[in-house]
Amino acid sequence: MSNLTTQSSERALTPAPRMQPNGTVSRVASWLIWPALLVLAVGLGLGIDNNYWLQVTVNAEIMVIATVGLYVTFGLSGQVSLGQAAFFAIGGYSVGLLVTKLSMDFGLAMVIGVLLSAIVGLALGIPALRLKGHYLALATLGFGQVVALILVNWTWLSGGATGVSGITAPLFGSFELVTVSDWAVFIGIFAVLAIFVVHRVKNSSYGRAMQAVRDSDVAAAAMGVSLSAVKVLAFVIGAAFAGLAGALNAGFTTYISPGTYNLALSVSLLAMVVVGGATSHWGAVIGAVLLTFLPELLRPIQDYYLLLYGVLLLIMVAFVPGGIWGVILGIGRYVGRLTGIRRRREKTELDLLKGEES
Amino acid sequence: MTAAISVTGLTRRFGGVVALDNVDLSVEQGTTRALIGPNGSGKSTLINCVSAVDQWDGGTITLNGEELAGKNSAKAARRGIARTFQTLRLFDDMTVLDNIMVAMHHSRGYGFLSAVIQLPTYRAAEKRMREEAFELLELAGVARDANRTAGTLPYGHRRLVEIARALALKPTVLLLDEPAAGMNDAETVQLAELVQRIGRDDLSILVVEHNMDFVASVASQVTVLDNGHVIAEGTPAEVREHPEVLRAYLGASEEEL
Repeated sequence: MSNLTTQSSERALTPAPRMQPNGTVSRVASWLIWPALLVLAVGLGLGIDNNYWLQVTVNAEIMVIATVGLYVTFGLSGQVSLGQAAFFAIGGYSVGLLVTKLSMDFGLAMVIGVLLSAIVGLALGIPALRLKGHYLALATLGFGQVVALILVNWTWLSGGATGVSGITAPLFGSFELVTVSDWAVFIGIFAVLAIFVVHRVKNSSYGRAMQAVRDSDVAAAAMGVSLSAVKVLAFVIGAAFAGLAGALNAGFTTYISPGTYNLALSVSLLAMVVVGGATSHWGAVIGAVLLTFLPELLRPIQDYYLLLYGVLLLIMVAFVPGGIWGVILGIGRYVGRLTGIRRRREKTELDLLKGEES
Repeated sequence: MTAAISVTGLTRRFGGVVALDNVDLSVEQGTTRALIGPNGSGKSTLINCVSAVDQWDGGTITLNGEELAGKNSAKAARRGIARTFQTLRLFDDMTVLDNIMVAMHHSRGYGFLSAVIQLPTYRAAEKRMREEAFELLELAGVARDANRTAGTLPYGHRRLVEIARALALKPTVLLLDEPAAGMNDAETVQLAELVQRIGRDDLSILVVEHNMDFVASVASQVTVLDNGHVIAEGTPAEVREHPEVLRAYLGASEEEL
């Protein structure tokens, strides 16, 4: 344990031990999760031989990208958005139009789509600073409807209600994604990257500032946090990730139309965050996967699906505020208590805090 | 001696109510001044103005020779004006350590991309911030709570964490709004020791408090507010004997005491 010298050394301070909230074992474990997820993404793409379930998997991966982005906006910084479908559309239409009308490379079109979504997110995020809660929800909902209307009516650009079809292009020069399996691997890698980026943002000073703004904006400001910078950043991240999801979706389906980007999409993205658990990006991932697969699994009882979906959502919001991730954490703690693992860990943490005495 | 906080002619109205009426107050650099007065006398309003959380209608507030422009508490905080709140405002869902580190966000020293890629600058900065935050928790005597969720701490500890968090701004001016509220006697003594311990030549403290024993142990000067007016000023002993103060506080004349 080192003796520390800081600017405030004139204060009589005892030497602080280096903080190690996690032991080496859990740090290695938390690093292993990324290669493991990559292997899983690639494995699912190559391993599922049923085309139908492979497509559902791709859809789930696309939803994961948009949902972890919305987690930053809604879960981390506490800003409700019911307009994510619009950013999805901006990403999708950027790719669709650039590829079909300008014969642009798919990869480049995707980058432009994401940037455009981020810019529109910035343009919406700044006026949205004045709004909170229900008002912000309504404003973003309105924004989503406006974009949907533009897509239907700006016929010469967007192709109107018929949309844009034949979106196929090579990726960065020569590489081409042909089979569903190719796409599953490609989009799967993006999904893991998206989770990874959000994980890092959450654990950085930016993530702490976002949570602080969510918990108490008055206190966050009093601690020198610029509310507008933090909120806009969170909004732009949500928009950019939704744009990426939209761009990938356009490439995968090769066809886009305004009908895809309706309010239902915005609502289900928000539902995925809430059902999965808005307190963690892992919750968002679980919500995205679950709510993409559930409708497919419930296809035999299609008539009752919406009813079941509604009831599930109500139950989650009313009785399980922490979402599925919260339940998993709770079970983990319970099991930990039973086996005494947690007790032992707490003891070592305490020893670490005591520093040299121990 | 120069005044670190200098308030002149400060007036704040809420509709027809005058919360602060032409208030003058100054805190000499490196000293602690207490602000006392009955409920509703305008103490918290004054703290809210000086920390730029609230706006004011007239008068000037000068901090370290620079005039405070208006309502922008984040900017004021970045200039070294730190505060705690009468009603606790910790980030309840975050760990205690993360609470402290929020106050270091503006001085984190790395950019967004650096955080995502985790460049060496990021790692070094995070380590520095974590260690400094931990030191502050040790100073406040709540280092054992570092990894706990702030909302789960006992009340007295949360008050101490709030002070540690304010100190993380490396402030030159510290505003404490009723730090001992709701604390028992032992905790109040511990708090007074902490306030004495953090006293430095370059830190000026303005503390709002009711508890006169606490005030006497931490502050060299006291200002008494009543109905938005300054009714007395002086050392704790002087103020205690002041007839106006006794009347305002106790509604009693000198003879009755």
